[in-house]
Amino acid sequence: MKITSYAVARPAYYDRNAARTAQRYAADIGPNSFVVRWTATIAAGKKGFCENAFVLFRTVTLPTAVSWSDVYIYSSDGVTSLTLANIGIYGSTTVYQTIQDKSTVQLTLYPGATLNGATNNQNTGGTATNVVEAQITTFDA
Amino acid sequence: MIIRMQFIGSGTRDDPFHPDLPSFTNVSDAVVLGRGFVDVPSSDVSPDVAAFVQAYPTVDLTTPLPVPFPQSLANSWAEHLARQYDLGNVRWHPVVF
Repeated sequence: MKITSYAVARPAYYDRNAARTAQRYAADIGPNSFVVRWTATIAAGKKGFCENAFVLFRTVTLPTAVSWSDVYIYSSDGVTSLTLANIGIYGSTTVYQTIQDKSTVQLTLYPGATLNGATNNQNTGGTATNVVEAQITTFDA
Repeated sequence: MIIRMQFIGSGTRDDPFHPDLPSFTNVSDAVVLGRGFVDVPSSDVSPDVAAFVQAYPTVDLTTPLPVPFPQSLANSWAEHLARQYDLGNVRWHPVVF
């Protein structure tokens, strides 16, 4: 018996003109306002998987007055913003701090969506290592 | 391609400082001056803007360009990005400092 079908399996996403985008910001920096350190936008006709998202904050030199610091990765479609990894830490003038966070999900990014890495440090004085990194694989939708 | 960019935003969580670009990586910045060196994917830079950046290399975040970034190039870059991403009415208006 001859079996025919017009259904053809699509290649896996990583075989559909896939491209890897590695976004990484790593620097020892002092107090800073909210700053987007990197952004990746998904173009029309594409989708993306955020396969890894990692943030780290580590004191290098102690601040003289303390407040909140943030290191975070978030997606946005222009309407809704979702946080993938986030550090929010209140500083110390005496204790060196290290804190990190990693996304535990593989977020699908649709056309027009952005993935963003951002930092903020409201301390006075001092410096800290800020790492904000993610890997996105984009592919034909 | 690393380009010295003017930032937009007000430095709050809802409106952080950033260059007006769809994709970039911050290399270094001086947010009090509202600008920074940004790594932009080569495919996102129109050839005329790339030629302008190469013609006027910058070494710091303070020295002004010898000639201001022309509005015609700003428009050209915005159109290039709109074509590149093809996201309807979404537009970016990056400015070289």
